[in-house]
Amino acid sequence: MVQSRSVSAGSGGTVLRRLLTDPLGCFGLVLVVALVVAAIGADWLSPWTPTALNVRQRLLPPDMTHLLGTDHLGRDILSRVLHGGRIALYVSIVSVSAALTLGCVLGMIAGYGPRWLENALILVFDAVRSFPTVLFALAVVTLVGPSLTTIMLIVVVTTTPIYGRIVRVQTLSLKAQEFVLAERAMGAGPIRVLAHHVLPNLIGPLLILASMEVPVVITIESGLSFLGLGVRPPTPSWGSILNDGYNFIRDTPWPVIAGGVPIVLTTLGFTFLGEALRDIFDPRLQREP
Amino acid sequence: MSPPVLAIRDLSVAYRSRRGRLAALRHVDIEVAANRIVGIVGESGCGKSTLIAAVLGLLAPNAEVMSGTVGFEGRNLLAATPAELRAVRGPRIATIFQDPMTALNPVLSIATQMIDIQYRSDEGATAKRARAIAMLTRVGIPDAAQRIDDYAHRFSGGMRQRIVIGMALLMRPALLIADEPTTALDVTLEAQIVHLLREMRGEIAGSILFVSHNLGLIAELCDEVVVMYAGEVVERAPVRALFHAPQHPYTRLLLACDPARVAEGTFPLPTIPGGLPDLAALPQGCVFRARCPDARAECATPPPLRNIGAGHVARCVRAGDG
Amino acid sequence: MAELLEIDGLDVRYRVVGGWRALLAPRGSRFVDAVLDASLHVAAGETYGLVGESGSGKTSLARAIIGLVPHQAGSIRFRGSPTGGSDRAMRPLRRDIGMMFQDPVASLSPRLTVGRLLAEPFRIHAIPGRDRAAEARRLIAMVGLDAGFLRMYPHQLSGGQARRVGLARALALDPALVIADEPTAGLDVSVQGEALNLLGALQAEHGMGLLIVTHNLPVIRHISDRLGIMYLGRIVEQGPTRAIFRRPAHPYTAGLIAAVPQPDPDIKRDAPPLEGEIPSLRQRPTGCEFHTRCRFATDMCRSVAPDYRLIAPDRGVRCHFPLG
Repeated sequence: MVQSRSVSAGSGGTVLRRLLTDPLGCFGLVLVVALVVAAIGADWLSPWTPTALNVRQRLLPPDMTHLLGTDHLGRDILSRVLHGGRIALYVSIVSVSAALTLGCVLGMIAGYGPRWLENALILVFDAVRSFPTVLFALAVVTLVGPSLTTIMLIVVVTTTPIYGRIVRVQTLSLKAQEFVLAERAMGAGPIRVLAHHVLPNLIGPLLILASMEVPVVITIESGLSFLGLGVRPPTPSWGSILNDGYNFIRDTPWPVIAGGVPIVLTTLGFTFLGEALRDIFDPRLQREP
Repeated sequence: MSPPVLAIRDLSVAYRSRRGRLAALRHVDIEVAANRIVGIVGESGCGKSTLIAAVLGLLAPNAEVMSGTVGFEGRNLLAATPAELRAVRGPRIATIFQDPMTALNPVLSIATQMIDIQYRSDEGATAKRARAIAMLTRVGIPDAAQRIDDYAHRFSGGMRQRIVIGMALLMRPALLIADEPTTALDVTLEAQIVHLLREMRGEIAGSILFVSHNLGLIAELCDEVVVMYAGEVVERAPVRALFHAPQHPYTRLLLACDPARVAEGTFPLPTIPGGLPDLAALPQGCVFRARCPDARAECATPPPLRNIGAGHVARCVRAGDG
Repeated sequence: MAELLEIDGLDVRYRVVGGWRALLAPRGSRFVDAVLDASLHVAAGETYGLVGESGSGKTSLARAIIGLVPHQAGSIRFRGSPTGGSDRAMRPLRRDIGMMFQDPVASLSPRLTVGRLLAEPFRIHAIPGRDRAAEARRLIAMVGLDAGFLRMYPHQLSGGQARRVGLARALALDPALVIADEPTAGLDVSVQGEALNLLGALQAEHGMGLLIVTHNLPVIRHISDRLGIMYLGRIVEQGPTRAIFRRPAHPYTAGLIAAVPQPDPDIKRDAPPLEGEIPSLRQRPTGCEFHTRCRFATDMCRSVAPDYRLIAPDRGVRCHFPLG
């Protein structure tokens, strides 16, 4: 009998430990956790109601009652930033997961299915990708009207092909690998092969890609809201805070700072976290034998 | 007797890893004399790759030289600067790797690559090209004058390995390191490449360090053989002595496992039960003890490298006992 | 002996030019023939060795048997009934044929533990009434590994251990035929015998047929009853292993046997036994396809393709002038 060695698999604990040893990854993790906590706890963390008007206290600089000051309608900016984060996170997580799911399914069908179906799907992916995102977004908003749902729809439609294409390429290469042939040789059907053997091997890199896609979606949401095509007022959004502040930038810089800094920090946070995770999960980037 | 071209003395290399220090090479002594072909035999994990990397100064960043020297043309390569090493690698020590498919640059023509490697020569481009064509003809590329302008992908695997050998020998190196040069090739091509290497040795008056796990190739090509196991040289001998009178039990078992030596219709095929020791926690005494059919109490202390005479040494307490 | 597997006149063709380009390409160059007119049979309890160099079509032939690649002509009959069709139609057949792939580690699904991998055949065929964990323990013990391996992932195994797991999986459902593609590939000399010894021992116990696809002549010599030698997709010689090794009839077989390096320093060959390289499948030589490398080639060999013919009741060769 040959004895087995005792081994520790790449469990969640190891990933976290390695993440904490990477300064940038650690920084990213802190920012992302802070955003999630702020978004979930916005109702309890906010000192004021984000939509409560107080016209007598317009455009106040930061002080002890309003930590980030107030906007042109006298609303507490800190409360609006916290609630805006909730919107940003909600939009990005819902639309990124929807796009990821759809992209995965379509990509695997394209990669594993018959040639004609693959060609048809690639044609659709390319056609959708060939619209400039901003113009496409403006057109859709004009047709459907601005709302959260519209933003999410735009994000799903424009990013699904990105995932779809990556999944298709990965599926094509996995399909030719011996373990997939071995499963087929044992009699496994397409659904079993895709669900049990293809999907688990491409989901890791894809999740990392998705985490780096989150800030992009947040900027799309903020951008559209900034243009007045996104979240309807008075619902707070980082984009609309920025837009409001932009109109009064000669009176006070605080609303612009309060709306802009979270966007920058969130982008950095997700990007650093995504890159650190990619380094951890991609064995080709590991130095140690 | 002239000094050896390559003299590896007491070389020990360890890798830092999460599981601690892996002692990949321990007290390795290997000499390659002028115009000799020395074969290194060993299975996966024996330290062949680490040895070649150490000679070429291409050890991984987490590798650490614990002791020893690599003497080549009067200096210690382990102490050489990166610039000195670059001057040695290529013109003085040429290397052929296992995979001919990736050894050539796919976006440059063979001519460009073969002229480029002569950059230290003062000759004009025409002379360099002529030398390259002559070399390609020599290694058996038909229509070399025309085909030299082709790109690597236009050649088959066997042809590519011929080109790689030609490129390696173009600068008349003092030492050629061939790292499993035929493993990726079919058996009929393998025979051709080994034949080519044997032909070429006469012309370049160079020495060859030939690394392989194939005992048949070693027997056919080499003058001396070094057997490695788990990072140690366990036996070193002239080729006839090694094949006809192996002294170390590992060598004996390895030879017994070679299906080309086994009598026809033997079943079950001989194997060496057990596995390699853990390099991070080596057992006391002989490294082969756990798999050795003749292991005894005295094997619990490290066996000395015993000299059996005529350049034949073995790291076994019973070596030379008959 | 009852024939388990009968292959007759099999052609396997791959499309090399696809899509709209195929409309422009000349008809002949759209496809390459990986296997041409191959016929062989394997009986229960028999070991058949299919030998060839890379590009000889031996792997394509093996994969065609269980329908991983489609065949364009000829027939494959397993236990007397023809095979073919979709993955779904092939399911019952795949239950009765176990397959081992070339790369011991890469043929194991990387995200599954060994225990799950060994239970896969039972899951795929939804075999009821058997304790899958117990089956996995039975299988791992059968190939000589201890139960601790069941928790490990494929990348934690050595080549030899992964090979045993692949063998255990192939044998999970007591197949009537096992196809092993290069069972010694990537293994050291000291362990390459292990998998074959196991296969042989289990064959003696269960009486299944074995089709071993390999380029390793020294190994196949000891374990096969009969051999088929492939060159450019055709079977050029077939017969009992001992007879072929004693007196090869096809010049290619003779060259292949002579090319094996002998571990004896007193034997020095003057010239390589076979000059030249295997021609491209896209530009097959005229006449006998081996004539470009054959030292006995005549004008007839260069123009007329030889038929496969019997030179003894159990031996056939595709050569105008068989040796011996």
